[in-house]
Amino acid sequence: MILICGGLSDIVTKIVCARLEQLGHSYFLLDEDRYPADFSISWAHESGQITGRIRSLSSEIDLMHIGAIYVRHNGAVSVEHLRGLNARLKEISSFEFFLSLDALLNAIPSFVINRPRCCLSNSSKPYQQLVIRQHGFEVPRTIITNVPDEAFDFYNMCNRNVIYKSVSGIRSIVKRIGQNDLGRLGLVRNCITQFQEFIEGDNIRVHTVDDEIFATRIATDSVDYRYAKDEGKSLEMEPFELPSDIQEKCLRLTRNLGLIMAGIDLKVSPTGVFYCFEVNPAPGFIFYEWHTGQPISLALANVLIAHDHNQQS
Amino acid sequence: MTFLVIGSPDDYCCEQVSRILKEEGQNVLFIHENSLTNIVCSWKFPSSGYVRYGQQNADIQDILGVLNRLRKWRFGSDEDEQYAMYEWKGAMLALLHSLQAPVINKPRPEFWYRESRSTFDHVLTLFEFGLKPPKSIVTDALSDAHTFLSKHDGRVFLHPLSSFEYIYEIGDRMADRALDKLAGKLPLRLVEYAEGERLEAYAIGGKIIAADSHGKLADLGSKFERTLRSLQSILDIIFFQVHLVEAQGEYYCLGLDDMPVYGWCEQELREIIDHQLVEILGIKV
Repeated sequence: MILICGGLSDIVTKIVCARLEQLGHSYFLLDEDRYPADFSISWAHESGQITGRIRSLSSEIDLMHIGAIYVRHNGAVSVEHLRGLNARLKEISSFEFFLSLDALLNAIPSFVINRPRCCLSNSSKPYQQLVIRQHGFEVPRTIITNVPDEAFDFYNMCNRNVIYKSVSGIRSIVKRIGQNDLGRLGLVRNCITQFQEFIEGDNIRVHTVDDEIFATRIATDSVDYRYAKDEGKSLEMEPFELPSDIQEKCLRLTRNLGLIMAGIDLKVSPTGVFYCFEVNPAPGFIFYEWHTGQPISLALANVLIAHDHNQQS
Repeated sequence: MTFLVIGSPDDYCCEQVSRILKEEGQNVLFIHENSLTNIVCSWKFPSSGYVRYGQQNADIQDILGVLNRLRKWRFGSDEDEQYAMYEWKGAMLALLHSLQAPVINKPRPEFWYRESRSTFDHVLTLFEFGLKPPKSIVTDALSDAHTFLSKHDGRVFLHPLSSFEYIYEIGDRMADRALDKLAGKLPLRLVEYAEGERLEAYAIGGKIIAADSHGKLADLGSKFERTLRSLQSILDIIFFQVHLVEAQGEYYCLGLDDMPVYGWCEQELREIIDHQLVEILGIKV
């Protein structure tokens, strides 16, 4: 049996469920929109064995029968249904429920896309850049500073072609520093900030699914193509054939981070140099699938099914 | 040329390592974990720049070694403060990881973001390396909690998933009431009470030592020492502590800490650890 851990309000989770149905494979959905209100989880650890079950309002699954798991967390666990808890206790309760689920997903011997503990590298972009460099990718010149003068010198050193973005995993919109922003550089004193040389060229988003690779070329005049439509800018996406050495690097990077599936952000410069920026361990791949027709969700469903069968046999 | 010590001035390890380094004539830049946002930092990725703190300045390339005891991150309640602290946390992980000089311990995301992982998670990971945890259950079903409790004659601990510090022993009389009150509001993690002698094992570079419950040096046996050594190389951390219970000739592992606490031990043991740490940082005492 396949376990899906995610909220049905999330389109990615919904599509993965739909693909499994399309392929005629049954699954158990732990709908995180309704966890823990409508679910009960009990599991024990004894001599290396994990036993237990997940129960919903209408069905139950034995943990021993779970061959493969897809995880797409839905943010904080809601405990609004619990009566008699003040705000602080609700916070603790929500966190304990979240940790109990993640501890299970980290420990269960099933095939898991992706284990939560392997997703933590994404909480520090420069940490990932260190790992990315070790895999032979180019990375843009970067400074991380809370000194305005240093940021300004870096800006000049990069011929005034610089973007800024968050250091941590907190989502930020990548912005280019314009002439009007220079007056605000003093604000950097309040918070350490990452500045990066802007790399000209097309964005390439790579999705790795086990041994498969799906690359999408994105041509846009927006700095952060995810927001191109909101900014009224152009956006063209098409499937892209990655050179084999870059494919190999992407697969190795994914595996070495302990991941089965990843969304890797690359950029190819006009001279053909591939830069790598980030590895997303829970990629929202539907955006790319819809724009290019690449069968990413189908590949994911097939990998889950294959591993579920392996486990059972 | 400078050694960085990052942590609390109340931390025994920070205090002793700084003291020995200074006695050996070394320059020490002590960064207080409560005032990380007072650091002035300019890091040119991957290996140059500087860190300034108070009146002291250290070029990143001139850092000779780091004792990293950053345990408590004060996120505050203000949203901007929280954001700034997350940014610092992400930056410090990478900066300390990037250094060529010895760092005790070179941070790894799975330990650095400890608040994102349960204490149980670490214990279960250790099983793969031959460290046996006591029997345990995580459940939000009261009936399952009671079954576990009866199976172990009420001799269980309630161990919250988010805390290293708070462990509650459930006595027979209290058990029912405590569980009934908490069930449904939290997932309950119950852990069998492993009866035996408590030991604390410390891995410090190539050295493995252990303390009994009185803080005296204790013998772990060569087989178990080998297990800890292989764990050390797999986890790729220089300095860690494993909480153990020795029962019927077997070791049960209650937890692992990558920021060991040993100030409570006897002087002989404390000195071994202090000197070993300083040696790892490259200073022969």
